[in-house]
Amino acid sequence: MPTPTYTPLATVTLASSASSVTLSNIPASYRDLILIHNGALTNTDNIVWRANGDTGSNYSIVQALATSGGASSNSSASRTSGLAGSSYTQQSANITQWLDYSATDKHKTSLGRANSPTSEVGMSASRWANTAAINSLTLLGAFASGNTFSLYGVIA
Amino acid sequence: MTLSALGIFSAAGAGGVVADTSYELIESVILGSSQASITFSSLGTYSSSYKHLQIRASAKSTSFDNMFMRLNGDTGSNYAYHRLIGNGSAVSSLASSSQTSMVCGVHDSESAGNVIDLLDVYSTTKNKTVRSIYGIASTTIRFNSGLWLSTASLTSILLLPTGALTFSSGSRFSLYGIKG
Repeated sequence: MPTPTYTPLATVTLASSASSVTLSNIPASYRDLILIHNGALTNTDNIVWRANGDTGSNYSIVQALATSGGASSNSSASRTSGLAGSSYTQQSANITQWLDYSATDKHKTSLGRANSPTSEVGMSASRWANTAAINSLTLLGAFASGNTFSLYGVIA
Repeated sequence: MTLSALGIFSAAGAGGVVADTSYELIESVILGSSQASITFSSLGTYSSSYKHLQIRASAKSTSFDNMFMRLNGDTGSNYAYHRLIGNGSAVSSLASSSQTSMVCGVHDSESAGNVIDLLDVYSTTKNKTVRSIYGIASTTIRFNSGLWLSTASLTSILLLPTGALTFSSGSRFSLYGIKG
């Protein structure tokens, strides 16, 4: 029997600028998480994520970017955060999906799509080398007032 | 507010956690042991319910390589695909036609993330197109489009690892329907 899903879990709209947003008490009753971020940053930088408050060097990423100057790709390991998109001082939209975030038998993978229409478009994969279920996500960036963060849960 | 799968906001119960009924879980497979392939069958059952389908998969195998898709059991040379690839040092692209299956994702010894959209799958006037984003951190991130040269309405989806590899225990494949 098909079951409705794609359930809204939380939405945050910033009333003032902030350097981080934490979505906590994420229930383990879903399988995937989808985060939609929309807004501008007060400076140009990546938006990054941390799970369960882990600030250790337990993250790795790969990304590909296209700008008016061409396409490029880079990767790094032993980072202290994963990627949740890029943002500029213009409006940007980023969608990040964590697959199997509640599973306890595997590291956690996220897939990201970054869209900064006047600057770049990108895609990324990140991994948190930990088998714990994700119960909180912290987004780090120079977020301007009015940025929105919407988190959804998808069952499996 | 509830966000539908098509990205349109619609009213929902005040303060409640309400799933929009335009996006539904049809079936999920979580492997308890290795398996050569994954089949979602009897999908014609849903022709009046959904317009598009989505597969969300964490695909494990003994090594990194491509995951392939066949539709309705067609093993003919009726598939084509394009890929945009970021490998951590450069971006490249690849195209192939007249294939007996289409690339739709990847698998790896660590779970590889795959989100695969199958569009207008029950149309009897269109060839079937598939788009996907998939990757594994530190290794690759890819954006892909696939084509099945058939106007037949969808009845089944077959997912295959590369060559003689199998999908490992812990792999997860979930199929969702999107109304339209």
